[in-house]
Amino acid sequence: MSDPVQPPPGAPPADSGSAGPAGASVAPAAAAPAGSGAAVTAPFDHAGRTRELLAIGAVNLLLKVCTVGVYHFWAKTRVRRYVWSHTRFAGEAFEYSGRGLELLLGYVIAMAVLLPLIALYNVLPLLAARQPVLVILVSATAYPVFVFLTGFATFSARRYLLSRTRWRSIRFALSGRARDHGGRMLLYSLLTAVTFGLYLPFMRNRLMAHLIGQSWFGSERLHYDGPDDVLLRRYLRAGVFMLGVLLAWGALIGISLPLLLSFLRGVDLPQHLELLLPGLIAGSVLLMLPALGAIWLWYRAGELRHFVAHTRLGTTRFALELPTRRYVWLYVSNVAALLLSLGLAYPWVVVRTARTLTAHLRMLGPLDLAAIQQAAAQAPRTGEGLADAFDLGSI
Amino acid sequence: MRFPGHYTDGRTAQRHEVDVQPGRTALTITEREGALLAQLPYDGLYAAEEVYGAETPVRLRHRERGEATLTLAGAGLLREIEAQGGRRLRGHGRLRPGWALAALALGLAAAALVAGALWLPRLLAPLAQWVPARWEQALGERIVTQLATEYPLCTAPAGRQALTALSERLGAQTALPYPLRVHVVRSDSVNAFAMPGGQIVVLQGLLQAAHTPEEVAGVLAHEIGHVERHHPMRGLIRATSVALLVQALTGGGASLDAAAARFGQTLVLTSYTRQDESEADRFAVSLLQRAGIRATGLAEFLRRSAAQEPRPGALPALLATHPLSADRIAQIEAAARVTGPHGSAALAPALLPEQWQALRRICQR
Repeated sequence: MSDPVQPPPGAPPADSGSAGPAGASVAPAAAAPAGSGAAVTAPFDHAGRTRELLAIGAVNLLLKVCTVGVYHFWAKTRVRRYVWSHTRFAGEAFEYSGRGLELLLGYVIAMAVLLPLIALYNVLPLLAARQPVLVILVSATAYPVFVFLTGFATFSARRYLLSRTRWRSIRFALSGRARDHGGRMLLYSLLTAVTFGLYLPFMRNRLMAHLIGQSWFGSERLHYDGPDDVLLRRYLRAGVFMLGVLLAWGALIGISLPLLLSFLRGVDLPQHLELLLPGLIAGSVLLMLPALGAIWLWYRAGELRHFVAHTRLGTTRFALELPTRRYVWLYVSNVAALLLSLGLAYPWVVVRTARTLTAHLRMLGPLDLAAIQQAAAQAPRTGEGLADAFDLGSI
Repeated sequence: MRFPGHYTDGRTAQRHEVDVQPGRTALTITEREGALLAQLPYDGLYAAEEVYGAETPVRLRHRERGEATLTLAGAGLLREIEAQGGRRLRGHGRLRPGWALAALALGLAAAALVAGALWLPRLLAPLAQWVPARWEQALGERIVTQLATEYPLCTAPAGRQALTALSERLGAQTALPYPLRVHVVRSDSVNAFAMPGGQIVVLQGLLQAAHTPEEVAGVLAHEIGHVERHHPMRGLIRATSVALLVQALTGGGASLDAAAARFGQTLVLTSYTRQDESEADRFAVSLLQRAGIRATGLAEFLRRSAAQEPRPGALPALLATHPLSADRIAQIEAAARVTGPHGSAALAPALLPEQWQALRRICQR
């Protein structure tokens, strides 16, 4: 656990008098390098503790078992409330105001949509076995329908989360329609399929633009201006690396597989080769997949920095100064910890991830808070339903 | 007494550094420069989230002040304010006085769930009668085709003829919406299954274990009982509804609670299966009597298999899918002594000796 814990900017929270003159603006106070156009500050931090979250998690698990799992939604809400209220910007913690019941209702609604669909796609092939054309026609709609629903779910989940997030009593919000996001995801997925995956970075960038560009903090809209081509270049480099790994692996298999087959057919091979071959083939598969995964994470690290760097709130920009290898290590060690501990390490994963991300998040230029008003935006009444059913939410 | 804190009015992101002064009925909030900002009566004041630790700030809201928030620098201040004001504040973190209520609610929720799990399948199972016969048939054929890819069907012509003769003799006494189709499958297990749509699968091991054709006829009649009562379809609907219920409630996670739920699922389903078996036994006896076949064959067969199965007590009766053989045998023999309402036809052997030999060799080519 080598995470440097960023101390709260300015004074510790107990001394609430020094978070900025009259609290009207969050401006670089001490750490501002003189002369640079936009002063860089590190106003984010996370004060959560694994031990505390573990205690919440233990109670949650107990209640989930007692309620045959229904408590899931309240458990999720409690964890979020803890994480939000320990994540701070300019010394002030965020607030999560969602309710377990909202999540439950959202889930019930999502199930009312999903179950008939799942039933249709699973039962129809059994019943209409004599009409293969019908089965093929209906089954062909499964992919677009579920892609659309995934986009729809992502957007609804984001809208719910933002609407239940407050900072200094000011609500966040997401305007626009979930079905537009679903439609976009469907269209971009088709383009990705047609271009054999070349469109993927465009798709991810544009979906992010759609999500960030319609986000609001009170009366202030967030803007996103990330260009596609930067991501495309990184994506192509990742593609070349992946191709290299696959070619190397293919060559290895191309040599060893015929040998193995001839051995299975009864041809005698030198003894050490007999023992080595199956291990070699299995080992190469075990090496190849993590190598591909690491390359994909390398892409994702750059992409995340790109997303953050092109997000703007008023005159303020942001930056994530998280080196690629730190990101890859964070991800890999999180997954390993979860697998090895059978999920018990979840609180640790949540806390260290929040700490690492906030510690590396920077703000460029001042933020004029006096101009930001509460907006009378409509908030959704039920939770993220579909996203929960699809298991999209990370927290 | 004055306590430091800060205040946001819920309309702007302005943060006011304030002093909080607990009075007799309200908190008085003044800016550091001295101007009065707000008065929050204790009545209607609540904590917006759990009180996590002594150093974690605590946010207070008032019922009539919307999103305006008073943040105290730490939970310690909250305690002192509560002491000064002489009352506790309502909030997410204050579950302690309500533990009994919470436990009661949880108990009720659990009870409702168990009731739901028990009743939902019972409510939905009768739907099996309304499933169109053609659907049921298509489903059954599909399952048998699938089965045949793993366990080859036995089709020696003489054996098939004997089997068809027996199943038609029994089938003639029923009013099924679809023809009975009996298959023998190459497998050493001693067992037989009824599928939706009148499909019955007998494992070869059962033909070898049976000593007389009457025993096979008894097993067949038992399976026809399942078909007649739509048991396979009902079972399918039950299993699906319970699985969906569990899925919907646990969120489908592969976690501890999902495993617990699966155990409950098995308990619920097996209790139904045992009812079904008794029902099929009663039907079998009456069917055999109408077809003029000695009805004790099934009991004889069960008695011999019972000698090989683990002693009762090894597995609680609640967990066994089939009722304990001793109970079943007693029930069948009692039913066989009483002649059913349709009367009993004159007894004739279930199969002629040469047919019986052919049936036993149905898997030989």
